[in-house]
Amino acid sequence: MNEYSITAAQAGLLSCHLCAQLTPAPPHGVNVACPRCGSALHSRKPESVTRTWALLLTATILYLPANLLPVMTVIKLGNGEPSTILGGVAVLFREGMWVLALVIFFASVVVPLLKLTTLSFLLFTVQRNVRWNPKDRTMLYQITENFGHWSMVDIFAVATLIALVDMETFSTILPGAGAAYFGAVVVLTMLAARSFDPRLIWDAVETRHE
Amino acid sequence: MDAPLALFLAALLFFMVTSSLPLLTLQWNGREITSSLITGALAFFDQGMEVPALLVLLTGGLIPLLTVLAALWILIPLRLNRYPWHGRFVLRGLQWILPWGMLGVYLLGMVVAMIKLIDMATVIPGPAFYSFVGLLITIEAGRNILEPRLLWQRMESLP
Repeated sequence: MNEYSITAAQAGLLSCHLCAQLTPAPPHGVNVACPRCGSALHSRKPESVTRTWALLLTATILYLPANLLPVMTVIKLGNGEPSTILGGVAVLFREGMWVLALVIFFASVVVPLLKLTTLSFLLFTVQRNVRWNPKDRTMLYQITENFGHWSMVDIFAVATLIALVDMETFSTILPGAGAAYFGAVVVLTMLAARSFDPRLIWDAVETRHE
Repeated sequence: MDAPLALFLAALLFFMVTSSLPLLTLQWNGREITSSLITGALAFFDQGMEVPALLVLLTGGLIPLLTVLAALWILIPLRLNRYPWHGRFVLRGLQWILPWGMLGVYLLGMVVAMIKLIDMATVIPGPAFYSFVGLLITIEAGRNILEPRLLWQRMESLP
């Protein structure tokens, strides 16, 4: 921060997160709405760290049943074969469809894990006022937020399978409880990424110059 | 402002086609099963799994539809230099739901399912499948070039 640039907060202004309108900040403790679009104005996302941690921890807890419980069961000739997400990936590998296996593995296993660890890491660095490389950390956040929803691919795949394969065909495919937990994990990690305020990364860097 | 308007109008047409024609057809042993956009969600509901059912229904169907409708709700009046009815409410709502449309993921999920079935039966993409791809492309393009801040500025300048 040099003598030519100044943050909105330093100038006593609030920027609207929806329409970018600048409004003078009210006295401490008073809440004001954006005069242009009517949404609530905050200097930083309210309770960002607390809310993100809460959502992350819930997502982490649900991550276990999401992966341990089967997302679908294939019933062939009376024999049920439940398959978890990792199990499905293994089957694809065995059948030689390793491109697809990698896609699923990446989207359903790697991405959620990366989201959980990345957000935890970002929260950790923000809470400890770490000043390491804010640019890269912000980029890490952007990538996490933009690719998170791709983990839903398994849910849509199961949805398509159970829609097409029913009692009258070669087998019956039934959805498993893992799908519900997995869906919840994806939604929770998406909400966690949205509740995290990346400007907090820069707040710690800024205080050094004051 | 014309490009997003054209894209979302096209998206609306694609949506109407996608929801009225067959999406995927499975053929096996002389039998034929057809699915639509919502068949998967309904199947989840049938099995008592409301959470995934709602997720698929919302992110794969309702939210993309609302995105298109809300965008047109704002863009068409603006094109005619009128203030959109309840514009503030609708534009805020649009910005709120914008990140939750997951048509691309839905497409990938369908492709994954089709490949998994490849050894067991014949799966034929119906006309709705191709319009689904069109829907995906127009919505994504529309989402990307839409700039809500500019829309707010334009709305502010109208009575």
